[in-house]
Amino acid sequence: MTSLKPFTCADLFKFNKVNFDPLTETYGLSFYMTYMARWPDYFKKIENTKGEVVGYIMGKAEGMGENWHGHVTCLTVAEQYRRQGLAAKLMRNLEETSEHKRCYFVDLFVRVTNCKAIRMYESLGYIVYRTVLDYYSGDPDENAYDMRKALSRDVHRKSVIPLKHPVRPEEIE
Amino acid sequence: MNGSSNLDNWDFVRSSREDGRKLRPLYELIDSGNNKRVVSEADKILKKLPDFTCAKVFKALALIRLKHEEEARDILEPIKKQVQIDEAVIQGLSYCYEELNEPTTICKILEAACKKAPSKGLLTQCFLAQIRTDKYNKQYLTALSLYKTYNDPSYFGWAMTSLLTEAERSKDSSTRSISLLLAERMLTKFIGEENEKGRTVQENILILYVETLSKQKKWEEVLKTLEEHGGYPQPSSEWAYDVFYEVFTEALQELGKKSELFEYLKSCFMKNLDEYQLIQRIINVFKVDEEGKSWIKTLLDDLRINKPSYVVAIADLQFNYAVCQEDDSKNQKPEWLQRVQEDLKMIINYGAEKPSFYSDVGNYLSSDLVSMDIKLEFLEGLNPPISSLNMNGSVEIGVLHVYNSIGKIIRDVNYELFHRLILPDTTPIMRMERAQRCLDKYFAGESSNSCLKSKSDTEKEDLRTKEADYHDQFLVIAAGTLIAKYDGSESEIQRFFNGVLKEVRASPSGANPKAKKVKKKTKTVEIEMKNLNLEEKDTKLPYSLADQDYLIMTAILIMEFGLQRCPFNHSLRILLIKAYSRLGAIKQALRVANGLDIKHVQWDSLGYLVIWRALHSGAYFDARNIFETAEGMYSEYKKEGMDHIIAAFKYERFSMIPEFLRFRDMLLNSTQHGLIKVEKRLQEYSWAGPSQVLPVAKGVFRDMQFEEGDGIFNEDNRDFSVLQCGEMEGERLEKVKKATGDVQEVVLVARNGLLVILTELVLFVNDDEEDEEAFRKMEKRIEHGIQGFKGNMEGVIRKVGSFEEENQVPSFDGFWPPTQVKYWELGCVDTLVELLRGLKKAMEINEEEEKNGSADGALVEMGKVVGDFWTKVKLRLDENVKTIGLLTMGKCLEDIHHIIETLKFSCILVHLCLKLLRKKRRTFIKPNGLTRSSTKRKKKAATDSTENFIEKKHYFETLRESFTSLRDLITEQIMKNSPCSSIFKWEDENVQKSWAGLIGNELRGQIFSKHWNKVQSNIVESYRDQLGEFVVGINTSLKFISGVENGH
Repeated sequence: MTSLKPFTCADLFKFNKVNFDPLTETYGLSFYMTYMARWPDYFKKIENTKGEVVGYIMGKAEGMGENWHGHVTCLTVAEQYRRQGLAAKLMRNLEETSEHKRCYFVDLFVRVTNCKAIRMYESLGYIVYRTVLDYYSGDPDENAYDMRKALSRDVHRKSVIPLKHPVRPEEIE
Repeated sequence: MNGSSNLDNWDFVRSSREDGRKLRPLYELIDSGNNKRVVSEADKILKKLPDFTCAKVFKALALIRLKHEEEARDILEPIKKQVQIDEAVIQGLSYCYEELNEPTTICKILEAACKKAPSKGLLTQCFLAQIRTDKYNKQYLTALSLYKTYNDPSYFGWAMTSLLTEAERSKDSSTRSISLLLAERMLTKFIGEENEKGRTVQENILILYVETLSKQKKWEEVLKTLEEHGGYPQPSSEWAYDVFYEVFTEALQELGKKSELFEYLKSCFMKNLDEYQLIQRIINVFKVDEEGKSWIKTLLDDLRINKPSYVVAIADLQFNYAVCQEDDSKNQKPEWLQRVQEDLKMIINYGAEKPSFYSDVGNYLSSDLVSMDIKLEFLEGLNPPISSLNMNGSVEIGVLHVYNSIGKIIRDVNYELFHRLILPDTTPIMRMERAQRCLDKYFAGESSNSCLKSKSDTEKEDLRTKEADYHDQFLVIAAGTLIAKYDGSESEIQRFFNGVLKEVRASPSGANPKAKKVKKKTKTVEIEMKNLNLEEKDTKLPYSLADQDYLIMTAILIMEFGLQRCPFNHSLRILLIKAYSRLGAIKQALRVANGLDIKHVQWDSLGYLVIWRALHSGAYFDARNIFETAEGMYSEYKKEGMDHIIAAFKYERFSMIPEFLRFRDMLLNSTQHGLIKVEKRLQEYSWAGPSQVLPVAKGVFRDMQFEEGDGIFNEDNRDFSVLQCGEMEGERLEKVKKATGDVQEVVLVARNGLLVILTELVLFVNDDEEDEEAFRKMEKRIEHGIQGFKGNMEGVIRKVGSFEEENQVPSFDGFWPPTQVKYWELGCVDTLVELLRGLKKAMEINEEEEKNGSADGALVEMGKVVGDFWTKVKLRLDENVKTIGLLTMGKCLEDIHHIIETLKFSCILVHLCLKLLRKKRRTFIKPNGLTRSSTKRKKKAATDSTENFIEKKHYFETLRESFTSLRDLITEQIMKNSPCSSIFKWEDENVQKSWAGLIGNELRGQIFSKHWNKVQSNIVESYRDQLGEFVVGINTSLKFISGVENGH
C-alpha cells in the first residue's frame, strides 16, 4: 500500500518517523540539499496512502572509468513498513538509475554487525567486496562491509571480485 | 574582453601581479584568522601606498571579523562608490558584504564591473550573486549575456530557469504571462536550432520547455513535445520517469483524452501492481462519471478474480467508499455491502500480518459508512486462531498465548488496534482490562519471540540492529489506552475516574481475574489503605493519590519498563513525553525526549513536542538551550540556503530550483521559527539585569527586522503524524494541528507586538536625542503597540472560541486549548497593557502637571496596577494550591510561569517609566534665554529632583512584595504541600495493594516493583527542579529591583 516517488525538500519535515530508527542519522540540511541538487534521481521515497514518508533511499553516481558506479548513501524503512519488500524496491530503483547512467556497479557500506541488512543485500545479489576497518566511528569504532553488485556494463564482473585483505577508510577510492 | 578596455586590463594584470606579492601575508593572516595582525599589516602597507584598494578591503574584512563593523563601513563606502574591476578587490568586497549580510551591495558592485569590463568570470560571479538577491529578471539578463557571448547551452538553461522562476514567483499576472511567453519562444527557437544542427536536446532543457508549455496550459504542445522527444508513450531512457508520468497524465487529463489516459494508467498499473499511487490516481480521476466508474469497476473486477492481492482489495474498498460517499443510499444496498465484506475478507487474507495493516485500513473501519455488524465480522475475521481471546477481548484464565510466527504477533497487534477502534473503552476499568490483556500478550510475545529468533540472531543481537520486536506494540497500546482519557477537560477527567477504586474493590472478581489471589486480601488491604490514607485525602499526609491518578501512573510505569526493554521504540517515547508533560513534570519529559535525538531540521517539525511546554513549565535553562540550537539551525540555513540553489544551477538541475525556493519559504517563514525568535528575545528581556536591558534591545533591533511586511510566519511544518500512537486518529489530530497552527500565527503576531513595543521603548528612553516631536511619535507608537499586542491577543481568544464552537476541536493536552487562554484569563495581557498606558500617560504629563506631582502619580498608578494583578492571581494560586494534585500540577506551573513573566516585564516597564520621566525633564527644559551653563545646571537640577523622588517613593515596593510573596508561596506551600513534597512517598507495595484489583501478576512483578520508586522520585525531582528555576527567576528580578534602586 505504498508508492515510490521522488524525495522532495518538503519531505524533510515529514521523515521523522523513519529517522527515529537508531541507525538512521538525521544530517544537517546541507547534506540532503547537496544530494538533491546534484543527484535528485538518486533520492527517492516511499509514501503510504496518507502521504507519509515511510522509507527513503539516498545515493549518488561517482568514480572515474571502470570505477564509475552508483553508491547507496542511506537506505531506511520505518519499522511499521518493514517485511514488505520496500527496501528491495528502493534498491531496485537505484540500480535502474545507475543502469541508465551506464554505471559499472552499485556499492554500499554496511556495519558488519547488521546481519539483517547484510542478508537483505545478499538476497538482492550483493556480495561482500571488502572489509573496511573502523569505518564507523563510535565507541568502539566498527568495521564495515563494502558490498557490491555488478551492473550490465561490467560484462566481465570485474567490479565484484572480492578483495582478499581488508582496507582502511583512507584507502577507499 | 572588448578592445576598448585592453589597456585597463593590462594594468589590471600588472598591478595584480605586484599586488599579489604585497598581499600574500595578508591572505595568510586572514586565512589563519589573525585579524588583529591583518589590520596592523594593512596599515603598514597603506602607510606606504595609501591608495592601495585591495589592502583597504582586507583591512575592512578583518575589522568586520573583529566586530568593528562601523569602522569597516567607513573604509568600504568610498571604495564601493567607485567602479571596481580588479578581481581581487571584488572578491574581497564580496566577502565583506557577505559578512555584513548585504547581498544587494555585492550585486551592484559586480553589475558595475560587468558593465565596464565584462568577462566570463565576472558575469558568472554576478549571476551567482544575483541569485542571492532574488532578482530573477537581472539573473535572466546576465545569463543571457553569458549565453550570447560564450554560446554555452548551460547558460541558456540558467537564463530560462531564471525567467520561469520570475514567472512563478511574480505576483503580477502580466509579468507572469509575458515571462512564460518569452521563455516559450526562446526555448522553441533553441530546440529548433539544435535539431537543425542534428544535436540532441538535453533532457533538462526539454523539461523546462514542457514546464513552460504546461504552465500556459498548452497541453497539445506538451503532448507533441513528449511524442517527439520523450519516447512516447513511455519515457525514453533519457527522461526521468516521474517527470514524464506527471506531465503526460496531466496533459491527457486536461485534454479530456479519457480513454487514452485510462489505458495508459492501467498499463502502468498492470506492470506495477504494488504501486498504489497508480490505482489511486485511476480512482480519483475516473470516479467522477458513470463511464469512468464502469471502467474502474471492470478493471477491479478483473483484478479481484485474476490477480487478487492486498492492493487490489484496498483499491476496491477505496473505490466503493468513494462511490458510496457520493451517494449515501448505496451503502444500504445488499450488493454494495456484500462487496465491502468481500474486500475486507480479502484484505485480512492478504494483509493481516503486515505491520502497516492498521495504518492502511484503519480509516475505512472508523468510517460510519459500514455498519457495526460488518465491523464486528471484520474483527472476528482478524482474531487470530491461536489467540485465547473471546469477542469481549478478555483473557481467559489459564490459557497462555503462544505465537508460532512473527506474523502471528503482528496480526494480534493489529487485532488489538482494531478492537480498540471498533469497541472503544467507556470506563476506566475497561481501559485497565485492555491494558492488562495487552501486557499479557506482550509477555507472551516476549517468550515466543526468543524461540522464533534464529540462533545467529540471538548470538549477534545488537539492540540497535535487531529486527523490530513487534510485540512491543502491545505496550504502546496498553499505555496509549491508559493515558488517552487525560486529554479531556479537568471536569471530564474527574467524572470519568470518580470512584473507580471503590468500584474495583466492590466487584466480585475485580477487574482482572488474574488478580484473584490478591483480592482475597481485600479486607486487610483496605485497613492498610485507611492507615495510609491513599484512598481519601488526609490531613496528616500532604498529598495522596486520587482515583484519577492511577491510570496515568500505571501507564508511565509500563512505558518506563518498555523503554528499558526497547529504548528505540519512538511511539512509547512520545507517549511517555506526553504523559510526563500531562503531569507537568517537564524535566522528565525532556529527559525522555533526549532519546528521540531531535536535531537540525527536526527542530522545526518536531521541536513543538517539548519546547513550549518546557518554557511554560519553568524549564527555562532547557528552553534557552533549545532556542539557541533551533535558532542556530535557522540562521545557518538562512546563510547557506542560497548555496544549494546555486549548486542546482551549477549542476544544471533546473527543476530543483523552484522546489528549493519553496522550501526556503517554508522553513524561514515557519511559525515555529517566528515563535522561537520572538520568545527567545522576550526571555532575554525577562532575565536581563537593569544594565542589560539596553544591549538586549539593541540586539533585538539588529536581529529582528521590523519593516512592515517582513517575516510573514505562516508556514506550519509541524509533523503531527508522530503523535499517532494513542487513540487519537489522523483526522482528529489534523483538526488539532489546524487549530493550534492558526492560533499560533496570531499568538506570534501578538507576542511580537509586545517585543517590538518593549524594544522601541527601551531604545527611546536610552536615546539622548531630546526632541519633543520624538515624544509625540513615541506616544503614538505605544498606542500602536498596545493595539498590536492586546488586539491580537483578543484575536487569539476569539479564534480559540470559534474553533471550539465550529470545528469541535478535541482537547489535546498541552496543545488544545492553548495556554494563551490561561495567559489571558490571568490578566497578564491587561496588566501589561495598563502599564504601557501608564507609560504613555507619563509621557503626556506637562511641566505644570509635573510640578503638581503627576509624574509621581503615574508611577504610583503603575504600582497599583501591579498590586491589583498580584492580588487577583494570588487568589487563583491559593485555590490551585488547595486542590493541587498530580493532574493539576502542570496547570499550576503554567500559571506561575505566566505570572512571573508578567511581573518581570512589569519591572522593566516601571523602570522604563522612571527613565522616561528623567528624559522628559531634560527634554522640556528649554535653553531659550539661558546660558549654556545655566541650562546644564537646570537640567542637572531636574534630573536630581527625579532621582530624589525615585529614591523616596520606592516605586518597586509592590513588585518586590509580589515577587517575595510568590516565592514564599512556591517554597513554603507548593514545595511542601504538593506532589513535589519530599513526603510524596508511596511505597510501591502499598500502591499495588490499593490498586490490587487492577494489577495482574506480570504488571506487579515485572513493572511495579521495579519501576515505581524510580518513577515517583523522578517526578518529584522534576517538580522541584522546575519550581527551583522559578525561584531563580524571581531572585533575578529581585536583583533587578535592587539594581535599579541602587542607581543602575
